[in-house]
Amino acid sequence: MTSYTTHQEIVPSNITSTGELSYHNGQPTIQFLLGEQERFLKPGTLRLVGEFTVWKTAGTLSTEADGIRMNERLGVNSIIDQLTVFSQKSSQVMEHINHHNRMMSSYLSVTQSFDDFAGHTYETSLRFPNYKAQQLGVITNTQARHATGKNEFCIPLVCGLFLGKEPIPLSGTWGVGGLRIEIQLAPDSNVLFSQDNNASNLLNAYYELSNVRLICETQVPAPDQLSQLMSQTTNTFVYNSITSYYQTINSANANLNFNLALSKVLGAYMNVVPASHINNLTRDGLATLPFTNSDGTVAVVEQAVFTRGGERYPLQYNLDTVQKDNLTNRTMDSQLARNYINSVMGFAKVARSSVTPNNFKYFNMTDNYLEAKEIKDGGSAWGLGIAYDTISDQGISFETVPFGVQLQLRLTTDSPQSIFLFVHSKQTVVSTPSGIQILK
Amino acid sequence: MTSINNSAMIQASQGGAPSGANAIPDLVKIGTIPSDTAIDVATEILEPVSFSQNECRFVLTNKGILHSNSRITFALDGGVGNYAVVGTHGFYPLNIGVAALLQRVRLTVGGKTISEIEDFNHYYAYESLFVSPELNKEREQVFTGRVGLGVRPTLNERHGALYEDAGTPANNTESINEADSICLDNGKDFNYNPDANEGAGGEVLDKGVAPKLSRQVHDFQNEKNRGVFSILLADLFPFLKMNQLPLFMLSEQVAIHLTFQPRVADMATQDSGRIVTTYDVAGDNDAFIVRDDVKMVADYIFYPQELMEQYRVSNRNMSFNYVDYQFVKRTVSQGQFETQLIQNVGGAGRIVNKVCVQVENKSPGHQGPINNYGSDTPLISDTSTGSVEHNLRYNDLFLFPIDVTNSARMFHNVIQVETRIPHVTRDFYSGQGQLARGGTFGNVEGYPMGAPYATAALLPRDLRGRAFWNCFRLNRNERVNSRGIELYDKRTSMAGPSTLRAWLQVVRMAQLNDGKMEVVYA
Repeated sequence: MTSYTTHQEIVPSNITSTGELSYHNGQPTIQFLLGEQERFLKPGTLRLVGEFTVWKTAGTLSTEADGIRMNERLGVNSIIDQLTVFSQKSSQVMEHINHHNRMMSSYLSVTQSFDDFAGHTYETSLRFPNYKAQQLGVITNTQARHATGKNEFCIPLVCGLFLGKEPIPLSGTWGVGGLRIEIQLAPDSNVLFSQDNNASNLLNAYYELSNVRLICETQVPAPDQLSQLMSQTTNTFVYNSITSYYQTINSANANLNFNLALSKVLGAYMNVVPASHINNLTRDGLATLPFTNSDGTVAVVEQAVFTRGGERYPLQYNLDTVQKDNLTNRTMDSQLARNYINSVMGFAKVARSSVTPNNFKYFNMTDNYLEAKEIKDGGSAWGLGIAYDTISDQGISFETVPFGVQLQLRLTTDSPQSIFLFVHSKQTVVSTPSGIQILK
Repeated sequence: MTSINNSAMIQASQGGAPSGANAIPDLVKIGTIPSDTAIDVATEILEPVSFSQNECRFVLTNKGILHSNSRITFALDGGVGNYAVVGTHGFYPLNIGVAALLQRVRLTVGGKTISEIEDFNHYYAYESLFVSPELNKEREQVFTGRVGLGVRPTLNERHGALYEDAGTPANNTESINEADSICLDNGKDFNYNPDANEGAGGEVLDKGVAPKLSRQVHDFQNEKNRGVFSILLADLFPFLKMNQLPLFMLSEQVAIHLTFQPRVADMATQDSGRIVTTYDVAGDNDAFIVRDDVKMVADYIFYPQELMEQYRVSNRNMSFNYVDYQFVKRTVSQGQFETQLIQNVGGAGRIVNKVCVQVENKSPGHQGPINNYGSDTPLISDTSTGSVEHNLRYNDLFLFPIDVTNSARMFHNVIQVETRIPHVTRDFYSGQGQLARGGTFGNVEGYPMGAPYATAALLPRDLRGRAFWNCFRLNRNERVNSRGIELYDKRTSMAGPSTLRAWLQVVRMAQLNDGKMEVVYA
């Protein structure tokens, strides 16, 4: 008998009697248990499946006139605020990503093209590269699923652990002892917002999930392979992990400093939004805008320096942008864009991307930010980043030295900017019959 | 077919190889030749040895190794459309291009069928899903005539009308920033008023003329211009994507048999399976294939003679696994689907990798710009969509623990089977996107992307829910038992009877003994 795979379909362990889950109605957490078993999980097959509905008020779908929007670049990915993967056996955290939706915004922008955006991801993740079309096709869609307005979705749970190609051993003796996957839903106020700064229709609006399942395939090892595995007392499993950090800046000379405590850092990338936009019914709190002043005008980055332990690293020079010599230049800076893309995925590996000169450029807005939705190619896809190792895949140690970024920018007004930093690094799980140990 | 599946499946086992045979590169397997090996490629233009409007046959020369990217070309005689009517075009179905001509393809060696796909043009519609919109726009439109199903948001910025005549925005229903709809993207701008401008040789909106939001096919795709299009051998016979045919080792005749899609006598009903004409313009004649343009451009690869001779000697007795397709087709009544169809699709005693299912639920005249080469969802109205619930059962077990009802998951299952992504948007797959619209929202050759249900004349010819292909991967590494594979499929509501097609990818084994090839099921 040879190795084979089987499909699994897992219902949330905290499912309600109606099968509906929403932040609004007091179910902000979805928990799945992928039990301890003598099998491997095929991480690329794991998907969150369900139906997504936006209610203006309970039982009433919104109409176009209500002007309710969500981030079109993220679609249904915007509902995941935190993703945590535990070992089911020991309850140890294997990976925890805060601000998962913002991480996805950078990840999807860099790795999926405009045609992906308008094509297959509209089917699976309800994303579409135009705010109005996404609103009409998802939020006010009355036709979907037998006229219930329920938009079916099937999305991957993106994290380092599940992006890997290596099967994840679920055994209690030679693996991680099963997985507990927890999804912290994003608040309605950060997922839904008004298209025209008018929050009156959003006061009772909320999104709801129904028929939520986790699906995956597990691989059953062949008997001879299984007997070998069972005889092992320890097992190591290497995976890439994503760690998130948060900081605000409010000056023209911004310094970010983080003690990452990670030994094999592959890259770090960050995206930005004005702090006042987060959880704001009149603003898109999940937008990835460039730095902006309080009147909505852009605060162009003139210089960026990435440091490791106070020294310039990996670039031994300052990134002087095209805006340094010409503050009115609104075009994208190719060095910033290149390093940003390279930090999310090795530049040479990026075959499809929707980061374009249209949506990475600076774009002056007014203080109501209504112009943000008019940025072409699915809205702004701005970010900063730096890759540390795209060749050996072994990473650089930030175990004892801090990661830093020094930015010189035209942030000349009182306009706190939230920076969400995501670091991907290599980690190792050592599993023994007594538990697991994570080596970061 | 996927590279991952095939790499696992197609493992040449070379019997009787002398010691040291491992030093000889596997000339048959694509991608295994060291880059410093001298290679000569000779191209030969082959005429069909027999040809009619029903079928044709090519016989290959037994020399070298046949390159899998050899092509067969086709052209029509330019007599389909009533081209006296300005703005009328004839073109191949947008999703499959010239493959619409091919109803069945067969590769034989010494009269024995090595590979065969029935209803090939339908199967090609499935395979075409995996070609990215970028490739369709830039390459496939020229090679195969395929436009594909890639879409763009319909924005006014692309119309140009504002710049031509800002004072006449009468039919501009979209804004520069807000898209209410989608439209197929073939890389062309909308043609603002083809009726008024095409005859004059221009496609630019005259000042003061209201725009007409319809994209048109490229001139070279217009059947009137008798464009020559081609299709890859590896597309006709998918196993050639991983293996090449060592013709120099075969002593038997190698032939390719193509059966053409039958012609129809009456074009008034737009029932031709070969061609599509502009919306609401019936063609004069069905497509007529020009014999002189049907040729095979065969590329033969030659390695150094001693290397090929060594390979021949060391592989005198050779066997390799490859995949072929078994085909099942039947008519399913509306009631059967709505109560639940349980259909045995065969596969008994075989090793089956995947089952691809198409349901065609369109009647003549209602096929739209992709003709009947779509896989249809249940009925869609402007206010509702139908539902599908399916599963597959073989060897006494269901494939999925619970029947699949979520259309996004069905789409995901296709990705998992193929490890490729179908480049289809939500409106065309599940019909649930509400962005494919009709009338003034952007058409292709006059065909709306969607339509309000009340506009009954438009509905049967739109594209909503027309790429609803389903595919199942049999993942237990087992031979199917004598009961075969059963498809459980429940669909509500259907528009009358449907045609169900299923292709089973089965593993076969070819054995080459002293130049003679035998084929058996693995």
